[in-house]
Order: sequence, then C-alpha cells, then structure tokens
Amino acid sequence: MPLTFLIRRNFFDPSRSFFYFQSSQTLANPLSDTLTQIGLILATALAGASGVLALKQSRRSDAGESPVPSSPAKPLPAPALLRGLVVGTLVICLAVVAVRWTAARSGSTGGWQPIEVHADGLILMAAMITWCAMWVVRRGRGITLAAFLLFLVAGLNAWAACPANWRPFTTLAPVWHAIHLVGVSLGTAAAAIAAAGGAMYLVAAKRLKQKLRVASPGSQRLSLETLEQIIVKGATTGFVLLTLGLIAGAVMLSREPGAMGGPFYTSIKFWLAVIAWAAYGLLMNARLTPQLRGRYAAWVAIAGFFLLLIVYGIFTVVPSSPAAGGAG
Amino acid sequence: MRLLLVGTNHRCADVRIREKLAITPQNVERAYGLFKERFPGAELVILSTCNRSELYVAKPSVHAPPSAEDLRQLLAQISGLSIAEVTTATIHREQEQAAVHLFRTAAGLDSRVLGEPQILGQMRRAYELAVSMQTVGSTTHNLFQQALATAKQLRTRTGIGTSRHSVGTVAIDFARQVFSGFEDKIILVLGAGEMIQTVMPHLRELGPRKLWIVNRTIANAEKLAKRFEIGELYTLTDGSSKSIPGGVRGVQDLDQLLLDADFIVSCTAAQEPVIGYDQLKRAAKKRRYRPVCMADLGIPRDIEPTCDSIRNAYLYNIDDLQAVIADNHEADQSIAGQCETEIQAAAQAVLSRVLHRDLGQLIRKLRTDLQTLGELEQDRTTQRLAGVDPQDTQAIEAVLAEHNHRLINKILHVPLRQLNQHDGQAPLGFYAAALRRLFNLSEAEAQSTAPHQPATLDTSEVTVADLEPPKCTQKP
Repeated sequence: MPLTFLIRRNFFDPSRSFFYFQSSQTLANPLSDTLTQIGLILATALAGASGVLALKQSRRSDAGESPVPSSPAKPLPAPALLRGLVVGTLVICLAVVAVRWTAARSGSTGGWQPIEVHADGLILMAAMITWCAMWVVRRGRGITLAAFLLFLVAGLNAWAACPANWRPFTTLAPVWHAIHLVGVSLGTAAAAIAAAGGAMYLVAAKRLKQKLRVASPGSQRLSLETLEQIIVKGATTGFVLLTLGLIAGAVMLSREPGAMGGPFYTSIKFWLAVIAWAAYGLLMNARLTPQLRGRYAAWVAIAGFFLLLIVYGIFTVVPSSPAAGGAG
Repeated sequence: MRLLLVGTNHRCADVRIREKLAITPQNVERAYGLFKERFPGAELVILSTCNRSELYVAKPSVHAPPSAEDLRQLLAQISGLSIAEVTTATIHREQEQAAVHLFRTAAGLDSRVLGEPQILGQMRRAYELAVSMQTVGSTTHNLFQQALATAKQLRTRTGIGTSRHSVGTVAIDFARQVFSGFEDKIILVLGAGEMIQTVMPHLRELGPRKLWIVNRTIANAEKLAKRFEIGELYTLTDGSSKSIPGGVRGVQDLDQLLLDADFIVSCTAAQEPVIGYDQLKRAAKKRRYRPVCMADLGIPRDIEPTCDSIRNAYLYNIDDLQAVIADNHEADQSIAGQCETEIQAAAQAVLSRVLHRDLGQLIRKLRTDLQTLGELEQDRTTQRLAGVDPQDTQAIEAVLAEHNHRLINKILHVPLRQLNQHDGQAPLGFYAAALRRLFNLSEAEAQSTAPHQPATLDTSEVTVADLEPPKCTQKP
C-alpha cells in the first residue's frame, strides 16, 4: 500500500477525526476519552510553551543578558513561570495516565489490559520525559536540555492524540503485553533523554572547538562531562527497559506464534528494535569503549532513538502489515 | 542637609600621592576623632581602599562647617602633605554629584577593573566603622544603605563584574565547560614563571585530585610548589587542614603525566613546542580518549596547534583567551552604560527623599516656634481682655489690633534681622527671591504697598538657579 495513502487514511480520514475515538468493547467510557483528549491538548500546549520559555532563557543566559553571578556549585533557579508550566505539564500528563488507567479498569469486559492502545505508551513516555525535564529545570542547570525534552513531550502528546494510536490491542497475553509496552515506552523515553543529551553534546563540543564565547561562571550550560553522563545513564536505563520489553515480547510470541503475521525474523520492526537495543547496550559502556567516547556516543544515542521512533512510526502507519509485527 | 565629598582616587592622583593620603586602619580613628572634635554637627563616612580615600560628609546647611577647604585641611593634617598638594590631588563634589559618585563607586563603575566586586564589601565595612565611630546620621545612613542596595541589585541583574578579565580565569572557565568538577581530575602545569604564578591560586581553588608542576629547572618548580603548598598539608583559616596531592616532576616524566592529566596549563620559555601532536595522540589513545582540556598561555606556543584536532582534546591558546577577555570587556562597557542611567535615577531619588525629609523637619520646627509665639501672645491678650468691658467693642478691637501687630512683629523680627546682616555668600537678592516665592508676593503688589524710599537694597532679579551657592572648582 502506498505510504502516502496510508498516512492520509490514518491521520486525515474524516471518519477518524481528531476528536473521534474508535470505540470497542474495551473503550466504553466517552467521558474518559473526552478528558484524555482535553488533557493531551493541554499538555501539548503547556509543554510547547514551556519549551519556548526554556529556550528563551537559555539564549538569554548565553547572550549574557541575564548572566547569573553565582558560583558553579550554586546556579540560580529557573523563573517561576517556567517551573510552573513544567509542573503543570507533568500534572496533566500524570492525570491523563490516571484517567486512562481508571477507564481501562472500569471499562474492560475481558481481562484487564493496563495499556490498551498505543497512545497509552506515548502518554507514559511523555510523563517520564516531563519528569526528567522538571528535574533539570529545578536543578537550574541545563535549561537547553529541558527545552529539548519539553519540545519532545509536546510532540509525543500531539502524536498520542492522533486517531491511529487509539486502535485497541487484541492479545491473548494482556499482562505480558502491558509489560512489553511499558518496557518499550519507558525505554524509548530514556533513549529520548540520551538522544537529547547527545544532541546537546554535539552542539557544545562544536562551540568549544570553535572557541566561541566562553560561558560565565553562573551560566546554565552543562559541561561535556555532564552531557556524556546523561547519554550513558539514559542509554543504561533505556537498555534495561528495552530488555524488559523485548523479553516480554518474546514471551508473548511464544504464546501467540502467529501474532506477528509470520516468523518474527521477517519483521522489520523486530530487527530495528534489536539494533536499537544493541546500540544502547554498547552505549552504556561508552566510557570503557574508546571508540565510543565523545561525539560518537552522541551520534549513537541519537541514531538509536530515531530507530525506536521508526519502530513506533511503522506500527502507527501500517499496523496490520507484517513489517509492523501485527498488533503490538 | 548638604552632601559633600572630598577625596582622592586612582583617576586624579598617582600611587605615590595616594599612599600618603590613604587613611589606614592605624590612623582612621584619629581622623574620625579630629572630625568629631571640629565639626560636631556633621556626619562623616571615610572610604579608604588601595585605589581611593574619600570623605563623605553631610552637614546641616550649605553655610555650616565643614567646607571643602576644611576637609582638605583635615586630609593635609593626617597625611602630612601641604594644602596645595592635597588640593591638586583631590576631587570635590556636592549634592547630586556626590551622591552619584557614591552610587557609581558602589557599583564598581569607578573602579580600575569595571564592576570589581571587592568595593562593595569595602564600602560596607567603611560604613560599619563610621557607625561604630558614631559619625553616621540619618543622611549618610540613607545614602550608604541605598547605594549598597542599588549596587547589589545592579550586579545581580546585569552581572557586571562577573566577567573574567584574566587569561587564567578564562582558561579555567573553558575547562569548566568540559569538566563538571575537578575533584577527580589531575591538573598538569608546565612552567613556573610569572604567568603560571598568577594562575596557580585559581588552580588550587579547583581542589583537583592531583596537581603536578613540571619545569626544566626543578628548583623553580619546587619553589612554586612550596609557595602554593602543593603536595604538603597546610592549615586553613578555620583551623582545618587540607592538602593538594601532587608535587614537582621533571620534563622526562611528561609522557607519563600526559596519560593521566585532564587539564593542562602551560606557559614556558621554550622556543619549541613542549607537547607535540604525536606525543599527545599516543597519550590520548592510551587514556581511551578521555577528554583533555589544554590552555597554552606561552608565546611561542608550548603545545602544537594540531593537537586541537585530536578527538576529545580541547586546546586554547593565548589569542583565544584574550579574544574572550576583549569580548567580556566590551560586554561590561555596554552593561556599564545601562547602569549609569539607573544609578543617576537612584541617586537623585534618594537625595530628593533626604531633602524632602529635611524640609519636613524644618517646617515642623517653624510651626512649633510660631505656635509657641502665638500661645505667648494669646496668653497676654487674654489677660488684657480680662480687664476690658465686654460691651466696649472699641476697646476690644484695640486689644485685638495690638495682638495682631505684636504677633506679626514677633514673627518678622528674626527674618528681618537676618536680612539686615550682610552675608557675602547669600546676596540680598537671594532672600528677596525666596520671600517672593515662599509668600507668593508679586513684584507689582510689593511696589504699590511699600512706602517710597531711596533704593538701598539690591533688588536685582535672582533666578532659581542662583539660589544655589556657587560650587568650588577643583582640578581633576
């Protein structure tokens, strides 16, 4: 099926309008759907606004308009508005998760599935990344990283609102399916943080090589060492969670051999996920691997995240194709 | 209240004169003592640092002592210089100009290094000393408190004074962008000359895991290590002990040291590079390409420029660092320009508040005095009226008329006596203009009601600007 046709059908089909959710026996709660949609829109808006604010503050800090004369050990906190917006985003994301969780429990007629649709995984990712962004903002250092993460959160929430992510899963192993999705979702979130750190590392390393204006002592820029730590820690967390997700996926396959529409080794999604998993396995040992120090680690982190996004993308666009590996 | 400043600073006197005019901790009490003895009604704060010695004085009125000349004589007496030398080497400011100078000094805009932060602490200590000497009154209190608060606010908001102005500190700032901390890092210093000596205190402050000094002449390196207590235990001011492990190594150990060094600062007298590309590349491989930051402060360069192309190696030479300093200086100048407007406004505001407060006190005093006068006359008139027949309206009117006449005479007695005294500093026209303004007397009415008399008074028109006494000029 041509890709453009698939994209149109899934994202722009009038019968699948933005405010329409495909109903099923597991989604019998219109109120929760409405609340979820409103929450996603609000979270997208708040995350976008706070990302813009964080970027503005980062630029002001770099331009010296409001350099904060503090010692490197004591950066001043971000403005109250930014902190408020980020906290608001987190609260809404968590509220949406809670609404979805409750709706799933109350609406399920068969076995309860904690994660019923793909959007649940995206919302979970958004919540985790927002929590990390809030930690960065409260710490007062690395506002640019927070801006990256908040834009990502806005993107995830907007993506989660797309109708294509609301097709309910059909599976005989709901618990393993839930573990698989939680592992993969949170693993992707951790990969996103590592990728954000990697992007910032590349920018910072380039600036240093170009001998651009050095930051004042109170600047909110993160050092290269800190960014490398973010990459390694993000990759480590992502690796562990992805391992959990892949193991759960393997268990599901053992119970539903035909779930991927064919042998698992024919699924592109499977191979992309394994490559990303292996990349993060390497990355978490970057400090021990000379070839992976510095910029190379940053590029691997970014590439791994994009691989995982492609995996998600394949599922969203062509969920029924063997390439996507079936329903999840 | 009148604000007065007399003093010297790095702009108007060289160090030879400034050190003589400096009011040191040894003679500051004497200075305050002399001032209190001679000018008991005035307030004083002495600000004396390595770059300035300034006397900030508040006195009750423009004519009250001390004058600028009195303060110069005081400085001459303390310093042992002649009046002529003191006059040449000092500046004199009054009122708004003095207030603006104080605010600019507190903000570091009048310092040698723009925005230097030490002056704030020095000014605070000078103020506290003046308080203990009991020469601070409400005017100097308001001024200094506001100057310190404004300066602090400006520094926080604009960051003036936080820019780095030395190559050593800029090099460390670059290193901070590579490393998050230095507690687990090893610093390698190549050379033991003057530039390295200026950088060493900053390197020590980083608290590295080890600090090695490498120099061709071991004795010089050992002297440097001893001076900065590298490699031995030393006692801090709070009684605790600290040591920075490390010490002195010879040039032959350089290859070994490059394997471990994370931050390298170099400034030697070598004509050829001390660290070559191949040497550093081998070391980088062996250390698994751990990041290394290098600051080459030497001319000719001690580290081959191609070393910058090695993965995870960041090299800055003296030109790179000085370009940053030049940028910082430009940025500081721009910030200083923005600060000037705010400082002018803040100084004007506080001076205006002080003047209004003084005026309020003056008006209250006037009202109290007039009230007393009125009560005295009222008592007298009441007694007179007691002896008058209540039906005799003519007698009552006479008593009341006498009351009015006496009251007006008593009110005008002191001012008219002042007008009759010859005051060289305030010509008659000054008082005439003040009277017209204060009592809203138009000239036409004054001329129509006054009896014809030969002109004995100077009735020349005086403008508002002329109400201020002439300012003394001084050499910059």
